Amino acid sequence: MITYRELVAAATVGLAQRPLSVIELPEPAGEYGTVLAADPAVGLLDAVALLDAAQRAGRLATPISLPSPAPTDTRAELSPRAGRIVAELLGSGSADVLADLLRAAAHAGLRAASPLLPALLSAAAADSALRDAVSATLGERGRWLAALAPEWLRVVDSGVMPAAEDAWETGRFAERRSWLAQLRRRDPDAARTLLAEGWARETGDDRAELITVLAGGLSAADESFLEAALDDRRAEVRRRAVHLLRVLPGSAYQARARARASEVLRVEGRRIVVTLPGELDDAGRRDGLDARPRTPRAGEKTWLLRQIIAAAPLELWAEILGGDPRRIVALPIADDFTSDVHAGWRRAAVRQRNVEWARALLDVSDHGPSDPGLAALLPHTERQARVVAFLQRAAMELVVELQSCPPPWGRQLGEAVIDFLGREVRREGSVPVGVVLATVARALPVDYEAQLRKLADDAPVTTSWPRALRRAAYLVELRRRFLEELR
Amino acid sequence: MLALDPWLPDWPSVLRGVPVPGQPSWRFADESGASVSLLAGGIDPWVLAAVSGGAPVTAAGEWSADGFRPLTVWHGHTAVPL
Repeated sequence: MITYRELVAAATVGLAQRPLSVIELPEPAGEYGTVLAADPAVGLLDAVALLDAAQRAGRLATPISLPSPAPTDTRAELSPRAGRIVAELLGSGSADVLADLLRAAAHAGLRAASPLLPALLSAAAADSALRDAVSATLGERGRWLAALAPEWLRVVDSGVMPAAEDAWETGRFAERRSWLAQLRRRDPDAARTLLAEGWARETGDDRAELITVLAGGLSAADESFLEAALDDRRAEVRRRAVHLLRVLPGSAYQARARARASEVLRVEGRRIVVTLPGELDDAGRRDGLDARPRTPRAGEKTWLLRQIIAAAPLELWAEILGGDPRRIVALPIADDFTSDVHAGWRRAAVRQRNVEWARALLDVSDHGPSDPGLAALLPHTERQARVVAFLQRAAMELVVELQSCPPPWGRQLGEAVIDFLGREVRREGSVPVGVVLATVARALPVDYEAQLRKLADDAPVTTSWPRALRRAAYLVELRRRFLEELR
Repeated sequence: MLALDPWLPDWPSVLRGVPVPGQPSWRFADESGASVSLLAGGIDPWVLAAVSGGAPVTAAGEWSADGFRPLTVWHGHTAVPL
């Protein structure tokens, strides 16, 4: 029996070198052996052609079952030009700019073009910063595609996943979570009851994920379930239960946190005096307190002090220290505990989303390190006004301040940033150029592109400014072109 | 054609069908479900799947005895390289 490979080998070196008589060909070509030419060379070619045809034509199509097709999309696709900008940003590692533009596209009622979906899903699976934005532009086609590859499924926003009737009993985890979240929106009590019924049978990982569903529509009715979860075997479940109980008004957890906190601070004269907490007991550990410091050089007792203050409802301090947040944070604190007490308050303000406390704390820490978490609580315009004041002083925490202002920036901030950059390019080594411009490129109003290019042209060529400014201008240009495509 | 150049195993061809991701290998099927191997080496078959959405698409590629290697797919009026 002669194979195709043997025939090719013989033809390559020539029949004189490797004599070969074609005696028998494999089926089905073998039946046609009589049609081969008598001349050995021509016969060889005939045999090759015959075998090749037999291999190709002789291959049978295998019947398979086809997957169900994607549902029809009602939203239109992004234009090809916008698609090219997306592809370019995907390749250039500007994830934050890309996420902003995708959100704008979703807002304009558009979805990602189908050819882009695999790259977008892969990028979002690898980078959680892109996940929400990509998820918002997937459309039916993208969700259909994501369901075919397990690593893409996590990109799909669980809230919008269509859940089948029996998803809770038989679905995959993402479907079950989505189903429970939908039930929670319709009927919070029913969702909690259902979760509690099967709670003991869920794995630790699943319990930790499912408990977060209760964050929507949280009420006093959830308290006993969450209290029980404080005794869960899994640390992550306990931690998430603490997160929820902390923001549940009037809970027993809050009462315990208040009791602990009211023992550590008191007013004496016109200053705050700290009483360091005692040893951490089991009740404290159950409530999520942790005696092991997470910051270097912090003592166990002061670390515990911070956590106790951070866990208490902020209203407590008006009761025991008197006055409004602005007055309380201005009080001097005895024995050098200022940074610990303030750190506790800052955590508490972020967790409890308390704007008044955030403002008061930001104002007293004006000369110290800034806190984007606190700044994020302030209204948009107030945040920008703070940064404008900051830029005029050109302080060192500029980057953090700029990052606390999500895009888009207003004209006032845009002007201030351009002025600031104009001053900085002539100075040496004052700000981290790359980080500042990455933030600027993302948020600067798109019509400042020319001003950035002009700054790049004027900047000293021996510094990193010209290159960084040109890249920023280029990203701003991509943003402008993309947004034009959305009109 | 084959007898003229029997040494050329890959022929350019345009096929219409549904790409089906599979473990371990991809298939390219007509609407009745009759399928041939989809050769995914050197291309991104997921782009083809995304454009298809489970419906038949027109793809240009190379046909050989081993199967079909799509190289370009039409997405509406746009040719998308794979």
